[in-house]
Amino acid sequence: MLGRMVGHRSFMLGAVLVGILILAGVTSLVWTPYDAARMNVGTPFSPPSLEHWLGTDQFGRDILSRLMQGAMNSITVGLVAVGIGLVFGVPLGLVAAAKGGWVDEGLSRFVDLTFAFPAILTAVMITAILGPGAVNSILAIGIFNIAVFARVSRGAATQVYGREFPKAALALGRSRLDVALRHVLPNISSALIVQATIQFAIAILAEAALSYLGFGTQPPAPSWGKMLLDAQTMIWVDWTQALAPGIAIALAVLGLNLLGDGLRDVLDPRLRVMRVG
Amino acid sequence: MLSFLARRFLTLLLTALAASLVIFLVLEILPGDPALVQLGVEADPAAVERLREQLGLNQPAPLRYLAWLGQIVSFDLGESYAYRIPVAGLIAERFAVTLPLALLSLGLSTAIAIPLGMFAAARRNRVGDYGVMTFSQIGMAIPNFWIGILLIIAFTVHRSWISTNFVGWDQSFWGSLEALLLPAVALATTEAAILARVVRSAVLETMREDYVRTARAKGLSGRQVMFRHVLRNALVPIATIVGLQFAFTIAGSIVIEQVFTLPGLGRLLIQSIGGRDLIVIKNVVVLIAIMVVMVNFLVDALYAAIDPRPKD
Repeated sequence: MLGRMVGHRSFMLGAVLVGILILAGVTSLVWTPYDAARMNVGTPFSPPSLEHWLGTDQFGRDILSRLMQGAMNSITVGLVAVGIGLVFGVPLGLVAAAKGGWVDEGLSRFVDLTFAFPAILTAVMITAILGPGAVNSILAIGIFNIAVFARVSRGAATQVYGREFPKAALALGRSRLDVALRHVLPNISSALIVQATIQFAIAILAEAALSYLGFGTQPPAPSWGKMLLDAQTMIWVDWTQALAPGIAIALAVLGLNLLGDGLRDVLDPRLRVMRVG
Repeated sequence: MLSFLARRFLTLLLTALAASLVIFLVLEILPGDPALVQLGVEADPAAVERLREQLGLNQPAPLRYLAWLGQIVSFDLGESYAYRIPVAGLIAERFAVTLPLALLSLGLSTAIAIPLGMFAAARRNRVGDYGVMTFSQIGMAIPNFWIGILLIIAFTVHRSWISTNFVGWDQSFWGSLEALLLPAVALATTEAAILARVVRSAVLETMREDYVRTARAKGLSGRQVMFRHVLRNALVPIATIVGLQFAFTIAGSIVIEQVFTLPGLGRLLIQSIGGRDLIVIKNVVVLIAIMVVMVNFLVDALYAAIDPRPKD
């Protein structure tokens, strides 16, 4: 398995990019080149130099420091939003697959209903109620992820329940919960791992879009989407400001997507990955 | 097939109804009195009470929900708090920007993705295939609003090659279409990148079918097999994804309209949040939700028409 992973080119590229993302984010918790919120640590709009590797923004803040903290922000939103999806979605999908009938039908309708509200729309409504904030983006993306993981685990678990060994385990007197946790869940874990990687990428994109709209992470906490919004107001003065945050988002998402595709190839090439959002 | 469609249509109605109920309930828990918001905190309490009466805010929630459903069905949605004009007209005016934008970008992405996907499938595991798949990976990773910003920089900052100033269809048809061009390209890039992968795998799957081998065996050229047999059969999964992408294009237009300051539904929604214009928010959101479930129904209907085998 490990050998196949190392031999898989796009998997390795993905792993390296995701590694850099995590390293940058985690490092920012204890150290950044400069205080990311402090103004005039350099002349405003300075180009990349030895002091400021990626230059400074309109307030003279160090862009690299802000990008690193933005990475941590994206990781947090992604982790929590995917976590919410897994914690609530997978049990729903397992129950639907185990029970069938009206329970299954009910879940399908819930998923249809959730998909009628793309994450941005949910976020808009949540913002209307709670006001803007990072929690909104997490909630909105998380709710959408519940539907995604419910559908994925329902599909995969239905297939597993159709095979002999869960039936045999039930016939031997194992409890339904036991069968679901010990026999079914391990057999759908590949599908869940791959989907989780893809949803992580989609969460980073959605968080960036929401903070660009001003609904997500609030200043002074740096977020990549907000950095792009600030950069857009400055394109007449210095358009290069719009480069670094955009490239950061694209590389993080590219890394996670490549990692997800590589994991699918290694774990189970026949897996169907859902890509919505 | 008719009973399948009838069942799906019933599901459509129920989902739309459930969506409207969710929106109503969610906005119901919103703190703040719309009458007070409209008149200001220092308003005369008697005036606030009169307005509450006029807006029907004193009635119990179930009655207000039913009244709203009646409004939706009759297209008489009341007046916007902020704009003081009928909401139905306001939404219709903004919809005339968002719908053409969504259709233009879906058209663009389909026109790009189908040839690219077919090309990649035909060159499977060769340079052409890797090239298309690399483009697709990059396209999926780049946020569409960043593409929008880059397009603005490239086409309007140093030289104004393409205007993004939307003047209205009645003012100038071509001018308005020009203003939608860059936003549509930004929206289409992500969708085209995803769709190209779907087309590629759908075509590859169809190429393994027996009838494709038969078509080859009876002497049809590669091109004939590709267009007459493979593409037509691969269209079913492709149509499903294009239908799904409609929903995400509408959602994506909320962000893209903000990037290009286009006066569409999305921008109306964002502005209404700033102004706490609840009546606009709930009607725009329900309109988008209804559109999404309707498109899903149309995809199912199309699916049933293309592939007459009985459904589950």
